[in-house]
Amino acid sequence: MFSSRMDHFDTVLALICEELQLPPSVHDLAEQRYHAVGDWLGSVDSLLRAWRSTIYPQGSFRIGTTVRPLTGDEFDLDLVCELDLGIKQATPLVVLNMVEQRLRQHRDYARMIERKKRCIRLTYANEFHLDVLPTRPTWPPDGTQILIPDRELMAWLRSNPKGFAAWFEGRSELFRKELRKRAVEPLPDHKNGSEKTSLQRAAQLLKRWRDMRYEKLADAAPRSIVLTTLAGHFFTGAVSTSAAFGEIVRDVTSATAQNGKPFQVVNPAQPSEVLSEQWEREPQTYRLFAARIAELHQCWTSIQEGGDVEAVATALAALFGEQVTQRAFRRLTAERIEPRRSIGSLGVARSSGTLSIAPMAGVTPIRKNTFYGEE
Amino acid sequence: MILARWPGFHLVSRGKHYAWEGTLQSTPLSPAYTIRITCADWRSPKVAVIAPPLEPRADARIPHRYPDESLCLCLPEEWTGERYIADTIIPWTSLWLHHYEVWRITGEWLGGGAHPPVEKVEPISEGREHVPNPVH
Repeated sequence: MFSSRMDHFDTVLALICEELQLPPSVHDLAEQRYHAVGDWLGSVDSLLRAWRSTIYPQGSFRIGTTVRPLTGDEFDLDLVCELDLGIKQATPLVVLNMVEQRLRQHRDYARMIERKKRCIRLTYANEFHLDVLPTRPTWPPDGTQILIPDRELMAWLRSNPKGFAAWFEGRSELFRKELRKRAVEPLPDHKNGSEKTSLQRAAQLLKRWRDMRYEKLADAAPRSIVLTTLAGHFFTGAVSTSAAFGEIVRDVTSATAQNGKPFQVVNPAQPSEVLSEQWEREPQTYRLFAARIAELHQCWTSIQEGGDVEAVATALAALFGEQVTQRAFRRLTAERIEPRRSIGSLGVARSSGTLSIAPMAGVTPIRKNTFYGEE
Repeated sequence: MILARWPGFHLVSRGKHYAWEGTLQSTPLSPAYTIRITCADWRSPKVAVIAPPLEPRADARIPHRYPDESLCLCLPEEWTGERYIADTIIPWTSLWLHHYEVWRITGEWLGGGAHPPVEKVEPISEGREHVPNPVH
């Protein structure tokens, strides 16, 4: 069933991540929706027609690290609308207005629209928010580099969401390399490419920890892109999610333990951009983060070292939430153990009394039984 | 048979009442439970968990146990004297322990099961007596 304590633990973590992330069916729906938005923005009668707009996902939606908001609201999915403006002078404000205008010309989108500071939000009730950020390629063009609106909408800032995603995917590749090294053939769970890597899961868990830990102090919380970059930076390819999470948290703890200037997190796809600038602007947020990540490191180390399944469940509930933890344990039994029992493929290893797949050497199959007795 | 197949088990008493003790660890994260199987005769072996102690939840008693706290592993008709304890009782106990652990965490018993019929007694509400229908 599980080859080791770590394997069992990783299975629970994977289920916790599944409870947190955008479900695959909703992901597919979101793709349909944003393609439709793109078609509308770029259609023959669109006022944006001349600029060959393209629309693509960025952020956690693109790299597969979505985590549902703490309070059960809809997922926020980030999209980039790239308009090929070339050398044309146009402030972000003007471009944002034009995108909004085009969307409002559509009867349905007009009802769903909300103008945010730098993007247009389309709310699909009970599904998700699509946040559309208007951007333009740099001039002269420079690979995947784009220009995004600054906070005041008067100037453009360099950014590189495709570049960031490519960097993160490259770090994830370490996981697949490690898997290939070990296995003669692909392991069943990772056969299809859509299976998450340990880095993606570690990034999800780190963001969820942040959401829980900073619930009452959201303004001081580190940005998701900071956490994701830290995860990718310190990841060395550990196949196990618990090991990957542990080494990332350990290394972030070391990096932030030194007194003095805050550790700087720069955008790997845009090195002039300091993603962690809040830590320099507000040093107390840095000190708070350093203390909390050290506490997480200690907690994670003690979970690894010992404690039975109940202690593990209690610790995971405190870090990631009671409901998602309970659902993960419930699903593990209901989806992986009980179905095998129903078809007679569950047994117990005689050396240890541990639940195992049957038939197998050293394993006694569990015969059909009905638990009885008083409630 | 038990001793031959289950190296973690040993005989602790023989004669009128046979008893074996051994450890079972349902999953790698589980603790190793010491259990005792007692047989007065081959009719109905009893299984008790010696250590670590089983704990109820704040809101519920431990499901699927007999009043003497031994484990309910099967319906009466699922145990026949010819069955070897080694092939039934011990594997069923490991599964019971797993479901107990998950019940502790989630509040749900996911192992299925049945309960013996309970004789319902009507409470007598104030001012009225429950009078059974007259039999003619």
